[in-house]
Amino acid sequence: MKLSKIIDKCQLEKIAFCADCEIKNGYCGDLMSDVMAHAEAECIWITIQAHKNSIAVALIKDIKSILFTNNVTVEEEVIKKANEEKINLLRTDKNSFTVCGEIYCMMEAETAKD
Amino acid sequence: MSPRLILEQAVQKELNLISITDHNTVQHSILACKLSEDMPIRVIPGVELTSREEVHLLAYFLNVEALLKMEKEIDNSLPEKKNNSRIFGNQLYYDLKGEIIGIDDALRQVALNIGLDNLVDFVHSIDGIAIPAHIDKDRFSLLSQLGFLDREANFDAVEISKFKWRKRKFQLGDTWDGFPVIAGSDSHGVEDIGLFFIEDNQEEIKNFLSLKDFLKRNKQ
Repeated sequence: MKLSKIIDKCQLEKIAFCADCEIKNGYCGDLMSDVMAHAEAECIWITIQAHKNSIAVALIKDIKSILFTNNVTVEEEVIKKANEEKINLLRTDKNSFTVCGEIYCMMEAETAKD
Repeated sequence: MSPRLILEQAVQKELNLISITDHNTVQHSILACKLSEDMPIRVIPGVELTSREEVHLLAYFLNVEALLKMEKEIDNSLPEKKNNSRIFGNQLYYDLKGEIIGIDDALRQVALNIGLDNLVDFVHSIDGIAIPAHIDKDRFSLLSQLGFLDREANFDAVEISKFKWRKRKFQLGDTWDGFPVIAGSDSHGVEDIGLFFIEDNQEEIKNFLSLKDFLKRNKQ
């Protein structure tokens, strides 16, 4: 599913939008070691952890899109780094449970169509 | 644990320099500083902060005035929730004599609404030292929460657990990924005091300023 479609349907705020991409799956986690161990490449990573290290984890795991939930504050330095590294940063005021559910349902529906 | 009891025990154990760093609260650190004026021990004003990422950060300051500025920032950044004494216990206030004079009902066992890097910047803005606490532990540490230590980060040092310090035979002046490394006793009861301390054979560190200078010289 295209990231732009998820952004549109879930009404996500674009904090750093570098390029549209194909989202193959998703992962939700706030501990970096957990994400490094379990997230898959090219997923959308849903988290409240808006620290500079999140960008580094995304790079290591080949994650192109991070979605921050609960409307967490994202510091300027994090946004700058994301733009440099071509990582899409999105944000929503919904919590992780809600937005995970929305995206999961969308992706399931699309898979069922194929 | 009253500050008086802590200081008496520390003096008895022949410690020269200590700091009391309670979680997101400063009043007992301030009391200890006042008490130490008449005792053969030096006390550095300090606090253990919890960043938004739930990373514990030790902050040390030159004087009580700076620590009070830190307190203001803490109070502005804590959620407006009350402590549940059944879960976290009572947070008692002691006076200089060691008598209980009140109960602090703010919820302090939670994160401040400030990101780690901004918290470090704030500590530096009031000329303090910022040191991520017990980074080797699997809870509330820089490594457990944020995965790794960024060599470009603005920390003045890193703190490791006393267990790691002993195991790896660390000494004052050693570094960890370029950062000076320290360890604390992490005393949560009077009986812990004096069981662990760092030896300063050169007698380089006598107070906050010499600590700050020492860390600066040893940062790679």
